Amino acid sequence: MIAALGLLLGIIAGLVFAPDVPLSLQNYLPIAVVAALDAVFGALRAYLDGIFDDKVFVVSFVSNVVVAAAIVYLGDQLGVGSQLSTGVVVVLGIRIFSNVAAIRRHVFHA
Amino acid sequence: MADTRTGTPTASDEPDAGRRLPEHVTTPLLTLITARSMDEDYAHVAQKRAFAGDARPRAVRPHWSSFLAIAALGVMAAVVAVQTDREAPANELSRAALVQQIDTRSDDVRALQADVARLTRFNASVASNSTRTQTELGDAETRVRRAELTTGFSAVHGPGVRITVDNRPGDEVDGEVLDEDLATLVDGLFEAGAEAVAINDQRINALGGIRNTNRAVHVNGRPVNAPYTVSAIGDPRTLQARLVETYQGQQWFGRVNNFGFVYEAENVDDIRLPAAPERVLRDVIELDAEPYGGPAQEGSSP
Repeated sequence: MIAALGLLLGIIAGLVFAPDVPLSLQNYLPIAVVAALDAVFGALRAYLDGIFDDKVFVVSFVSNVVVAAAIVYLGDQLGVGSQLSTGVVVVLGIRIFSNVAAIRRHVFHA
Repeated sequence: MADTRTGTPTASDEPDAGRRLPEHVTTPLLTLITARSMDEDYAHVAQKRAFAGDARPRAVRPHWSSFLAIAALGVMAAVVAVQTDREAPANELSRAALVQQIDTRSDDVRALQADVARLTRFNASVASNSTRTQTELGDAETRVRRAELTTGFSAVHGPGVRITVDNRPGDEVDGEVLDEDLATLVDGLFEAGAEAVAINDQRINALGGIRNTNRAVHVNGRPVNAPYTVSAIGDPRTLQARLVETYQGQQWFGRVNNFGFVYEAENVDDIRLPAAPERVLRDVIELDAEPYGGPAQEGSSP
């Protein structure tokens, strides 16, 4: 409940303030969002498994976002930014899908 | 070192041989990603708590820090969505500009292809014109060669008769061969069927002439000296006989008898005659040429 409320508040805040993203950050923000989604789905699965932990979630959230952005930044510096972005999105996408599958098993028992 | 290893295994090698590689090394990458999609830390922390005997409620509820993290996700997602939405018109605009450029370039390509087709057709027509002109040029060259052959403006060879004429032996003026004597002989030869005649290698044609200047004979404006060699290309079987029959031939032989000229004739299988010298025409103008300023301004050679 508190999570849904936070998500809603965040979205509203983002829509209301809608800050202009600096050009230098434009490549990293979408990757950061995907990484954060991965952390959130992992947390949701842990919650349903009954092993959720605030601290672990926050640490994994922040580290996911930072590491994903750092990998893409490194790729940009090496001239393979788009390829590394694709790699990061593929790995995070696989994790998100398998987490969602586990959540589905919990919710629907199927 | 290697010997000791292969020879007698030491006690320290035994555990190495039996040790298995760790699971995260042997598992394929995709399987590993799928299996560990949830952060291991959750399980790790839960295990630690269970060891510590910390009996927490089964479902631990998220607190304010999780709330903040999720709110951050919401903000980021909203900002990215807004940003993408803002850039959409610009992207659409640049896409439209690109489409327009493609259309323009396609039109250019079409125009250029039409040009190519037009130029190809033009090229083909020019090539066919060129072929036709080449053919006409060849025809004209053939006609010129034939005309040169018949008018004496090209070197020729063929069978014929070589006649040697000389003054009467002695030193008398009466016994000298004059221009009109040679002209009579040449006229007789042509009448008898000769096709080309030359006197001392001076070819006789319509524009040439045989003239006396004082006592010297000039053919084509150049002096020739006795003995005169009159070479005539024609049928060697009939030429001499027909020469006797012609009026000019009879005139000539009459003079030979009267004045006592030396006359010797022999048939030759192959006589080579040079071309007559070209003469610049001053008054003759081509019928279809411009009288002034045209190609025939200086007169044209036949």
